[in-house]
Amino acid sequence: MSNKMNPLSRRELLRRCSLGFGGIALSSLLSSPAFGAGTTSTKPKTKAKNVIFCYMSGGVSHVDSFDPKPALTRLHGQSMPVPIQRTVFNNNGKVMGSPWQAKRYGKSGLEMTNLFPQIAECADDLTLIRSMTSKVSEHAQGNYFFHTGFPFMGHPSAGAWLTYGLGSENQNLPGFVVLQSGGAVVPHGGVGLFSNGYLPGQHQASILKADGALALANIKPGEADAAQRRRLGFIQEIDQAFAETAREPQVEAAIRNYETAYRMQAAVPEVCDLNEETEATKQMYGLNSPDKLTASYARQALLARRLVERGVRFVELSCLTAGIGAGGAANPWDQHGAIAKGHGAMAHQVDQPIAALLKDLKQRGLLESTIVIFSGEFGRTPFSQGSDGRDHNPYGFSLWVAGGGFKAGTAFGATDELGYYAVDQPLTVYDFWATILHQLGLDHEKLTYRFGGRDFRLTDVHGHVIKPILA
Amino acid sequence: MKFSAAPLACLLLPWVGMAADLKPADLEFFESKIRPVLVSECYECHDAKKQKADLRLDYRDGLIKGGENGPTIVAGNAQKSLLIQSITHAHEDLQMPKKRPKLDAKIIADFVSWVNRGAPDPRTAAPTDSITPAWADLLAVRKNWWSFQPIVNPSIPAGPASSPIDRFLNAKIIAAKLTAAAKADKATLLRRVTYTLTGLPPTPAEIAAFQADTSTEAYARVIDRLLASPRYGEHFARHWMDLVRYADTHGSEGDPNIPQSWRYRDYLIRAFNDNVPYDQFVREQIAGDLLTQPRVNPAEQLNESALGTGHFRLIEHGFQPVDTLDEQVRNVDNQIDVVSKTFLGLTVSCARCHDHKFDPISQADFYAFYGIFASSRPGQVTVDSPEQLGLHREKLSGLKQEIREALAAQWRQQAKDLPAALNRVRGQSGERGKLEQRLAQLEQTLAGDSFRQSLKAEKDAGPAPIHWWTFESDGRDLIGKLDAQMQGGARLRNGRLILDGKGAFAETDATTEPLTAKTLEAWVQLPTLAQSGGGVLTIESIDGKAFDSIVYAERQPQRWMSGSDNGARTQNVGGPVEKTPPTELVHVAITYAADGKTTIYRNGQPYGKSYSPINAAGGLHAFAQAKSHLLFGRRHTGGNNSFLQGEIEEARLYNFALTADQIALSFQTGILRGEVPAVAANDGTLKAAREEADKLRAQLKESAPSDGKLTAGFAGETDPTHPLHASGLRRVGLRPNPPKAAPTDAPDWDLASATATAWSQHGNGMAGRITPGEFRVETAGPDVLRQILPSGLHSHTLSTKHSAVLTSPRFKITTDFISVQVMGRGATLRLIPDNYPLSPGGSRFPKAGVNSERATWLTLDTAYRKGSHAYLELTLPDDSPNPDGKLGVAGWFGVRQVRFHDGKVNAPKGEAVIVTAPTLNTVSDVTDALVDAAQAWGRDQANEAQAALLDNALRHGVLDAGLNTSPKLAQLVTEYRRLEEALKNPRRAPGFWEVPGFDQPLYTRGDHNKPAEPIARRFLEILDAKPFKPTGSGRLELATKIGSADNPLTARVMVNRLWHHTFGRGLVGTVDNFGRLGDQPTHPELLDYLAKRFVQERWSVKSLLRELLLTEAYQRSSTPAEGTTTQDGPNDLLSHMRIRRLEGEALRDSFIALAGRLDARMYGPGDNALAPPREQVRRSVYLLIRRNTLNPLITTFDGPKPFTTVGRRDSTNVPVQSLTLLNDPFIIETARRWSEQLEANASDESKVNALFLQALGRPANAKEQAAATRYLAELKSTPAANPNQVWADFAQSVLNLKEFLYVK
Repeated sequence: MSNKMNPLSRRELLRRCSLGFGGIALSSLLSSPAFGAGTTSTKPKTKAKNVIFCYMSGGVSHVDSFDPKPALTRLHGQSMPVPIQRTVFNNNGKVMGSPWQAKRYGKSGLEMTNLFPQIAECADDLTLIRSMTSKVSEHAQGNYFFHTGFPFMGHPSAGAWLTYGLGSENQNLPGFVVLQSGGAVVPHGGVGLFSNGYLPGQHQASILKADGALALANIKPGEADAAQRRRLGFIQEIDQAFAETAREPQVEAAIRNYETAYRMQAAVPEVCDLNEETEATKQMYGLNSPDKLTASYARQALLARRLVERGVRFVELSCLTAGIGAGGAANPWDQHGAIAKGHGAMAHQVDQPIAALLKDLKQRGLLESTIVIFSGEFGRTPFSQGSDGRDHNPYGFSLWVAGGGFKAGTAFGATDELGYYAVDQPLTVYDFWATILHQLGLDHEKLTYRFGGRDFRLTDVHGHVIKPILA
Repeated sequence: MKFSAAPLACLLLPWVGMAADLKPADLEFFESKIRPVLVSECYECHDAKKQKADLRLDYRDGLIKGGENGPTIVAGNAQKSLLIQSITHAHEDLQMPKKRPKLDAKIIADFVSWVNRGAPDPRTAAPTDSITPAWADLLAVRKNWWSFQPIVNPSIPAGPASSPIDRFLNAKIIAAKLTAAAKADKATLLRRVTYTLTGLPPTPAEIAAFQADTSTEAYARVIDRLLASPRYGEHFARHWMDLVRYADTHGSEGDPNIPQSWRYRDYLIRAFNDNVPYDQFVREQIAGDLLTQPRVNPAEQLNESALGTGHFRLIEHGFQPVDTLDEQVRNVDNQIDVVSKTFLGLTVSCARCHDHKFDPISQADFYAFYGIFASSRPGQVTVDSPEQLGLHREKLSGLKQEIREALAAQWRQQAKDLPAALNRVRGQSGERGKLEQRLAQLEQTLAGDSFRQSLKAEKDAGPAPIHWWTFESDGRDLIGKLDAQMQGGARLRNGRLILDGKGAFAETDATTEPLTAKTLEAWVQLPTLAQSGGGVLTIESIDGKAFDSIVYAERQPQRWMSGSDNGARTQNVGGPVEKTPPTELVHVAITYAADGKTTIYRNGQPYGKSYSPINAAGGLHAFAQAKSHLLFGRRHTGGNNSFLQGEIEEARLYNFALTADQIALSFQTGILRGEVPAVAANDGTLKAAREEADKLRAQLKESAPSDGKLTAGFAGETDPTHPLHASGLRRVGLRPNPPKAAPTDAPDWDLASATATAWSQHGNGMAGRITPGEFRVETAGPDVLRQILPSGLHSHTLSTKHSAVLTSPRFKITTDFISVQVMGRGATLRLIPDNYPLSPGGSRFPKAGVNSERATWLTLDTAYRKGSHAYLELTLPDDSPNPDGKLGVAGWFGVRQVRFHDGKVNAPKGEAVIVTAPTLNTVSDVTDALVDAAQAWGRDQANEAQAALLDNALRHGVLDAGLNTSPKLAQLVTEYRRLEEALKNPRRAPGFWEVPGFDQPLYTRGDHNKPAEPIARRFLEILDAKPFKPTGSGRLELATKIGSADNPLTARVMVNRLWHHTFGRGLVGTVDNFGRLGDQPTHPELLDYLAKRFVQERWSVKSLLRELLLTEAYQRSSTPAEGTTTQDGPNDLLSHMRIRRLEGEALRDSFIALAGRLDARMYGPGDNALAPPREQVRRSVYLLIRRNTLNPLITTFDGPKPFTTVGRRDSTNVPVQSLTLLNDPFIIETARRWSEQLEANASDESKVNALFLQALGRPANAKEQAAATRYLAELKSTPAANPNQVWADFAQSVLNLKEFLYVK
């Protein structure tokens, strides 16, 4: 909050200061009296309101999933026909064909492997991008780059930009939520990946445990409801007198926060209670899967839908590690070795829950207003690392989006014959976010925030909206 | 974008004539004041290419004609001119320049004056194209910005206030027709000033004292008390930590520690508490390591100045970056960002890709700074005072020379005694010697084979031996698991276990198999035969009740026996008297057969008679598995005279009794080194060897007897085991394989020559000498020294308690491999690409451990980093930003040569390349050579060959470096050791190492793959464009420029920061940005007054703070006088005090203080509050800050993310804050502890008052007491209520009061 806020009537004040998780770029507008800060002046008609980000930390192999390359099978075991760029482990082997089989799926005939059989069945809802690139080939920087547009800490995460730009539709729930379950942890780089950066504090992500007793830190009162109400009553009584003498908007806002906090204590457990869902739904997501990782990830997917239903803007899901081939808790997809086994286990974890999420959103009419994103921080090399792994490849990889007004059942861009470099319409993370923001009605060049003498954006000073993939 | 002044100048020319009607003064005015502004601010939208609103401003008629809004100017009437209305923002719709900050007041004034004088304009011709403004023109406009103007000495407004500061403020308050608020009450004021200065609440005692002090000085006394409190430094250090993005880890994957980062934090705390003048403080932060007169902390003997550069190292580092240059660009960018914002309030890093968009900062400025910081290397700087670092240096150096002389004298004598010894060497003579040597070699091979064959043939035997110790480099058991552990001063030298006969011995863990029948076997050398009772090799039950042992001279002088418990299995066997000279090995073995028969062998032959047990008690003893162990050099545990004085070369244990033939073979085979060789296949090799041996024997029979010459006989190296074997003296070095490929044009360094000076030596342990013959005095043990070093750069030549880092010049990696000839212990050789100091190893970050007493070649695979700039670094763990080993472990290193090559096969190999071996044809040649060498060495004039000869003689025991060879030597060494003992291990802290600098090429559009011309290192062009001296990094000059009153920014920026911390907002609101995107000062004259005053008062932060705190303004109530808010919403004029939320750290510190747990212990490594041990008793400034796991409590309350300068924290309101205060276990725990301190018997009213007083600095008023009474009644009425819980609950509610959370 700014010291420069103009005096307001008390009523006006309370209305405007309910910053909670809601204030639409308000506080920043007020604290930046100059120019430049702010959001789009007029909100164009948009289809999308929410984002569900299925983040595949560690890096999914595009050549084994959404960008099949027959050439790799043909050249399997041979030396790479093109020079190899520096890799992270510098243990580069021969061309390695995919252990999975490619085929065409759906009416659209999108070609994918059978690594994600159930997601593949949703082909007609997917928009594949096969020409993604990243600037960095290490996890932490890759994660930061993908989340914030900068390969290091300190900048706001995409979810934070979104809540800053759009506000929340639900005052009682955080607008930006990161889900975890089982042994899932924050990807390499730490919680800074989900930071509000220099944006006001309410835009920071809340980490919700999809299976924990305490879904959100400090959400559970240590006392009975009646006791807490008595407490709040006493606090408010004393605070009011202080607010009278202080005549300070930020004090008013702080008082008001207690009301929001009180409501959140009820709202968060309510949304996290999956028992409200039918058996059929649970079954569809895989909550009862014998694969413990699938069952755990399914809870996140189902909870993501519940959060989006309640107006949460941005939900990010976290994978659990299968512990195979260097894929640790923070980077579960990182199969530098044993990629067949590791990717197989990881795919099995997310395939059913994500496919169910797509179907569920669709049948509830939510897919149009929700953008589902599936991506890791980079792809993997077409040649092996050691004998049976793949190293990081930032030069070309795939991701997909679904819903939210994207052109479904299409593929955009292409890598070369080997899947090494993006060659047709190479895209940057900036282009990607510019497009996502566009679908949410935000102009990525105008969604700025002044910090330390500069107007910052999610897309730095780059990025173009990818028009051809919009419906 | 690159600008040049040329286009504009060219365009000017034709107009001069046409503008002849303009007065020269008008022309001058237009060209200097108006045209540059039009070009830089207006042409973008109003020129030949673009005509927004149909307006062109790039020539006179266009400007006069105007656009769709009508004529731009009314010549002679500025007020009526649209141009002026729009640039002054007086116009309702037109506010120019669009999307940019308002023009500076000075520029606007120029335009007003220009229009009023008729807008004389020489631009008659309309340009046909856009004019790209030249940088010089932009600079000319931008330099007018207020913050770049010299600090003026403003006149102080009149007024009744005693403080000039108040008079400046009051003048504006009066002018705005505002009423200043009343003075705050004492309780409010005390709480306010205590938080401002210390970040802690006042204690009840402090409150009472202030209330009781009714004197006029009471408040000033409080300020002085607080400024003198160590808590002040802690609080203001934390403010500073916000500016330099303080963290204890590097973030990214792994979040690695920044070793000793806390020392920089402690430095800040001391600096603020000691009120170090700010200009000095600034110089220390930029170049404290380079100040000629560093600021020394006498109590701690710390070089405080050297600690100042720590912030440069507090950067976020990528994890194993593939592109290290990209990483460096980010890091240096961040360093520039932090330095320029922190000290100058400028955003220089905005000019990385192009000239600054708004400020007079060019892209060249960025790269001028880049060169300075990239020229400095990340390191762990030695931060002890110069005095401490130099402690005893001269004395130790002097003593070392005396020791050298004394030892040289000893050696000359020893060398002279050599001939007699050398004459005993076997195989002395030329051809005969050669033949004998060859024969010996063959016989050894054959015997070894027979020996092994015989062992293999032994039906009942298992693998033989079952345990085997050769003491080559340690006490390891080559076959089993019974490693020998040195005890009582036992040590290894030249592959032997050295035993002093006074308590030194070695022992093993418990045996791994039962032993009854067995053979004990050993090679031992006895320096004196006149000793008694020592055991060579013993097997003993761990309870000490039974043992069998090879014992020398216990019952009979100079005779061997089989020792046993109480002599139960011991008999005199009548063997011959031992007469082996002290320089020769004796082979002794004892076999204990299954029937109890015991036989002793000496040198392969039965020794005396064997014997059988006399009775049952004397029968074979069964040594139980796991209940027995082995001893070396000790007869048995607990006996008198049980220690052996001597050297054990090798020992073996068999679990059966060897036959006499096997013993003989074993002796003949001799000692074995290294691994157990496979039994030789009978494939003809042996046959050939046998035939050759027969031939040799025949030849030798006929050859002449010894002629006393050495010649070629000494070239062989086949029996280096004999201490007097002269071959050792020749073994001064192997030539390396010459590189097969042609040498590249990459630099090669010979650190044994004058080119060593190109390398940078850091720390107090690099002597910088390269001459041969350097040595280290042993600081313990019986030797004076153990090694004579060849030429090269060596570390730790006076003491291992020094610090030492050696780095090469910066070079571009052009070869696949770099080979470095190094020696050392515990050190690491590392390739540092692009200053990236974290190297996990492998071929991506080449490095190698240095652990060889003799110079050896290490080859780094650098192919992956080809094309990068890099340097080589040698460090020990303590001196490394990324330690490879345990800290605090002594070690050393030396470097001789570096070769750059392609192809691994081209790597030089082998030991030291030293010299042509001296020609030693006769014994007297050897003697003479040694005498000469010792003499030269004693004078520190030894050449390479002499140093090598002495080293080899020493290694082979030809020369003795024993401490006790002379009393004088012993005395000198004792004194040396006494002084060395007093040295302390230096303290290290993150910082920069200074090395010769380089100019950084500008990166076109910021792309590090597109280097353009190098930019000279210098300060900002607008302040001083003169290039720095090219030698160093330029940091020292930069420090002088920034830490000076000559630049208008440093003082202004700092006083504004202090104002911010005092009044809640700076006179310039954007404390880190004094550029055009920042705020302009609300009180420019006051800012300048303060800046001047600050410099006058010798940059005293405490004095300035004192003046600010003593103002009326600071002491005003935060409740505005009626009507004030409507006229001055943001309270820019400070008619009342601002209310401020507690910072996260102040909040946590208050919790700890209220809970009665505050531990005032200062300094040291950070506390971990997030994981066990959950340290929650010290102030938050001492919290460990891990970038990837920031403290949630402090982050929730807007603690900054440590990635760049944050001079002004946010104060956000989020429900998570409320949830934290309501539900967080730490807060609940705090409340419980706090309530437990209430006086149990006190009334509710006084308990409530006590809590209010501590939390809010005042007792509860009547209304609050009433509310409390009602609330307490409710709490008490709860069924489960107990008094403790009631008050814990009540206390927690007090912690949730906004008046607690805010300072009014």
